[in-house]
Amino acid sequence: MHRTSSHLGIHIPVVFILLTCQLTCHSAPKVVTESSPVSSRPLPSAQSVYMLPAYVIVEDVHTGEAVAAHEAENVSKAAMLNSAVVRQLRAGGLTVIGEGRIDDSTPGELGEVLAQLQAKHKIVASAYRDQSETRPLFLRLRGLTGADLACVITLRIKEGSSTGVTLPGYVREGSASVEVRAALVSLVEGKHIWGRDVFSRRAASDATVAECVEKMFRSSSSQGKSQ
Amino acid sequence: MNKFRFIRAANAACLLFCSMLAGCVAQEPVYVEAEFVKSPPDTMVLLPVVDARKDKSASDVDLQKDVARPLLGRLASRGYTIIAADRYAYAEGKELTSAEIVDMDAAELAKLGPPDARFLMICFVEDVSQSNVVLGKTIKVEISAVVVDKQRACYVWKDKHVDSRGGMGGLAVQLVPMQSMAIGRCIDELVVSLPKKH
Repeated sequence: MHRTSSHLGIHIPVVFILLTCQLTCHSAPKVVTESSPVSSRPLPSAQSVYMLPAYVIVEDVHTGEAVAAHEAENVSKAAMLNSAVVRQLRAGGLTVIGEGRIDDSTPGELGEVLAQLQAKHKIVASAYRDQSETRPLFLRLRGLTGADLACVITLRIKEGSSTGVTLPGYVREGSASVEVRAALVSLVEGKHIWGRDVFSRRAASDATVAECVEKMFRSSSSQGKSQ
Repeated sequence: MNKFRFIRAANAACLLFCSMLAGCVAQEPVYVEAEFVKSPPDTMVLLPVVDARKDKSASDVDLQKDVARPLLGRLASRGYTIIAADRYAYAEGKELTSAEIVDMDAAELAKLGPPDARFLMICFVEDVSQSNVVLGKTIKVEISAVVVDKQRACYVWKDKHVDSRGGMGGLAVQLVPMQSMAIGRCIDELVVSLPKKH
């Protein structure tokens, strides 16, 4: 009995110190930007941008399938993302029009165009996809709003575990991540003229999303200046 | 005291038995067509592994050596005849990149590969990340794969596996090839969920 107590007395603090060291020294998750055909271009200025509603995809990291829950949370994340991007676009000298949402106040024809663009979001958001299918919709949007560009934002959340300690004392690499993709599409040409993709190995909190947006526009302005 | 030891031993034996059972039972894939399970094809074309990683700086991976080769071996042992394609696009003269493939849907993926092929297997390496900690390292591997029916331009099988773990043990852990072991486990899980050829 006495032996067990003395063992515990030594082991508990040692294990505690080791685990604390491991967690504190675990390298902080990075935020990285991915290159795309338009990622090296600077943010255009002195043009008007129509904000399309942000598209939020939440998927289970273990299956890659969309998770239907958290509808209210997704709406609030989309609104937060939209306003963060609008702030950055305005700071970059662009005139932003549109609320970035479809609701009862959206005029009928505009609502229809936005809903159709939302349905084709995967094509609209990709700089690699052929936009011939969506070009008539872009032209209609230009006719209705007078904007030069459309801003397409995608928030892809992978739900998984976060980095932490598992028994018997291992540090496990987290599997949750966030990806924010934004693109400016020319409504006349139907082509991507600017785009950034930022990835973070953190769980999807408002702070993570805000950090991704900041990183996205910081890298854009530094590239713009260097060119 | 003896009774306590017996209970502990029985618990350990139960745990071991359950883990062995779990290892033997094939996992259900994320999606599979009933027809594909009933009559899996003899031959499939394996396209070059798609590098779908968002953070390529997190670890060094040789997609051919670390992923494609073990995958080919496992698929052969599952009973499939696999033809490894050397490029994505055959119909168009254009060279496609991994980033372009990642953004494609089933209809577009079906246009890839040799025109005379019927079933295409495409493997996506979504993430490989490694971090060093004081007394060890952690690793996370995320790999998904799809089988596309070129004729009907749709998925017939889809699956994904994530291996996320850490090791503590000083230098010993640094010497263990944890990355290739994790990639191997992901590939094993993916292949086991394919219908077995007899």
